[in-house]
Amino acid sequence: MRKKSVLERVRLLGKAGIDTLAALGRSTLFLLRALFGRSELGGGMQLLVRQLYSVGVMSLAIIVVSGMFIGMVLALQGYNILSKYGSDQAVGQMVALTLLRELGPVVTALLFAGRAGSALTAEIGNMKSTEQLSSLEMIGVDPLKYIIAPRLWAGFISMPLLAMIFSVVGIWGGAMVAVDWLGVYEGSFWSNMQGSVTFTSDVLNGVIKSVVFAFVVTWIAVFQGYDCEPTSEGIGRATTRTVVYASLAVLGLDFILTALMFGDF
Amino acid sequence: MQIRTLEIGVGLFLLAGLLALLLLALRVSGLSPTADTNTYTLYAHFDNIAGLTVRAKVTMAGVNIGKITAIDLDRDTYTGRVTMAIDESVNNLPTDSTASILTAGLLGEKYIGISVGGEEEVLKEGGTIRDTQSSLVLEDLIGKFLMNSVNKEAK
Amino acid sequence: MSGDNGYAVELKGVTFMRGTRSIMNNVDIRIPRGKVTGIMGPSGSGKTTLLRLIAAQLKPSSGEVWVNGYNLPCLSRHELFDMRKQMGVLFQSGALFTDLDVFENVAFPLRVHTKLPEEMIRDIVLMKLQAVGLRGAVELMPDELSGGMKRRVALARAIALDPQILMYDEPFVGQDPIAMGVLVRLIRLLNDALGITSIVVSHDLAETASIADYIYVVGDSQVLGHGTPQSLRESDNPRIRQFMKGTPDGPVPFHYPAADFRDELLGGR
Repeated sequence: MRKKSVLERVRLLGKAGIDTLAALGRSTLFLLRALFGRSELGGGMQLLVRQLYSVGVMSLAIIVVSGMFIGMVLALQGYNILSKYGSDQAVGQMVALTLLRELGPVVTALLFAGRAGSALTAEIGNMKSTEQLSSLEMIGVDPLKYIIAPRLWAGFISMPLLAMIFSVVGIWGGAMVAVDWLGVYEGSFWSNMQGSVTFTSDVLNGVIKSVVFAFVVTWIAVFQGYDCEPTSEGIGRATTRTVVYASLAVLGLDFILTALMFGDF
Repeated sequence: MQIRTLEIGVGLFLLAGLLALLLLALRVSGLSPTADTNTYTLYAHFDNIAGLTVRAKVTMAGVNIGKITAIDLDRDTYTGRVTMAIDESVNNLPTDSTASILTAGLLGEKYIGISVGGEEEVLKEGGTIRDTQSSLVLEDLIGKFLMNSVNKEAK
Repeated sequence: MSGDNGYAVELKGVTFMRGTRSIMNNVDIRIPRGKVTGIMGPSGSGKTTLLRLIAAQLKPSSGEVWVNGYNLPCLSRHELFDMRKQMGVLFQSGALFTDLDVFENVAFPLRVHTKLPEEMIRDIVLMKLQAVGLRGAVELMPDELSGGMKRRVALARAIALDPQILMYDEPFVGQDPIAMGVLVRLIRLLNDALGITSIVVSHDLAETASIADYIYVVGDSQVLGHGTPQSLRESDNPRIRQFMKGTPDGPVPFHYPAADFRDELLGGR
């Protein structure tokens, strides 16, 4: 490699900035067109069902298993600390609040990005590289409507449901460990939880979080697939980008949302 | 019939999601649709409600008999007025019952415990419990303790 | 308007830039109606770009692309999709939809664009598959087909809506001699039987020359020459000669542009 002059570096930096800006604009247009462009295509419902299956139902196993383990670990750790202060019955409240406010939406989004997001990117990228998207266009079908839109909607719908299932399974796992194993009195476990968890500020805020995450993760995944370089390495890189970008976006947004929802200012 | 199994799978998935929401609402956050129908309202004034929160429980002999629905300041007496929703089944509280703010464990949540009085007459909807014991404020206690020891030394 | 003047597709002064690199520079091409036209040139000479310009999947940086009397760059996205119903493209890889079987692949354009009853769709699909000789493969999935069969199914799909213009993107690449022979025959047959305009983009000299009525040779982002296969073979343009004869060195040099070899070896960086 030759050494680059300072001017060259500045030029490259500027180019990178402009490229990023262009990608942002392109992805926004892409999203708007896919969601609000008009469609003359019938059978939209069937397409959506197919995608809900591959995006939502197929992610169910990993969500349920991880949810249960995370709930169990939370109960164990929480019990260890809380029992030192003699308030081990608060373990239910701790497990529920942690899951509903943070871990449910965030971990679901991260798992979703890894499981469904990368699959979406790879699938669409593969369609692009085998010219299926071009060929749809030539048949006179807008791939944004036929391929992209159902996948976007499937992601938007699935993730909040998955997050709620995650929380429920987690709380159940936590209850199992705390009540059956560690011997926390069952009545106080639940009543403590019910006393401190409120529907609007905890449950609904968690759902709102996961709706936002669903939007961002699915958008990134689908756009990376659609925008990737149509070669094997291109698809591989796009898949990696999906997971990295989606995870960073989820964690960053989580901070902002938490500050807005629970920050009291 | 492949699309059929897909549809059933997706249907189950959506159902599981809704069920999860329902569980979160009823079991976890204790949102009960029938809670408001069969309760009656009582008031109690405390000099200091420090730490008591809305939705905290109201107990009698350790049994949950209702919850706190509102806390506000009474402008005339400068005391904290706590509004409680008591289960209809417990409609035989004597008028001289005592309400005190208790703490579950050393660092646990605050709640109200009601101890029964001896009057024949019972509290009705909108009634007020007169005999109250305020929250134990740790700072005050320490302050008193210090004052005592200072006084002793002075003697 | 350049309406019906015997040309199905006309490119007038088309320039296409990718970044700062020009892929096509002021290109004029006219493709006669009802004939098989070959577009030939070495790899990387922008043949596929040309096809995508005609299919309006790319917009030219400047110039006009007239198809059936419409200037494509001026049409809206919606009008374009209507326009494309009159065009069929056979992609290099076939581009069959991997989650649909052969029948559904061929039926797809019919289902999207027509409201025909199921029996009629069935009849049309079987007719088209019969034409490419794959009626027996109706129930197979794309990944169970060989490369040549995939292309034939894709061809059946491309003609499902009876297009007026059919474009082939490198139809002969990576085919065994038998599959190649089948495709060559099919292209000619479909062109004559359906009276459509065929555009074959390829660098396979013998096959293209054997079916094309007229050939354009492109390279260096320009049209190098055009004419009937016979007249091109006798052309005295050295670039065309090199391409038609397949000699390794000539106006298109064997070496990628580089500094003098001697200097570089001795210079010792």
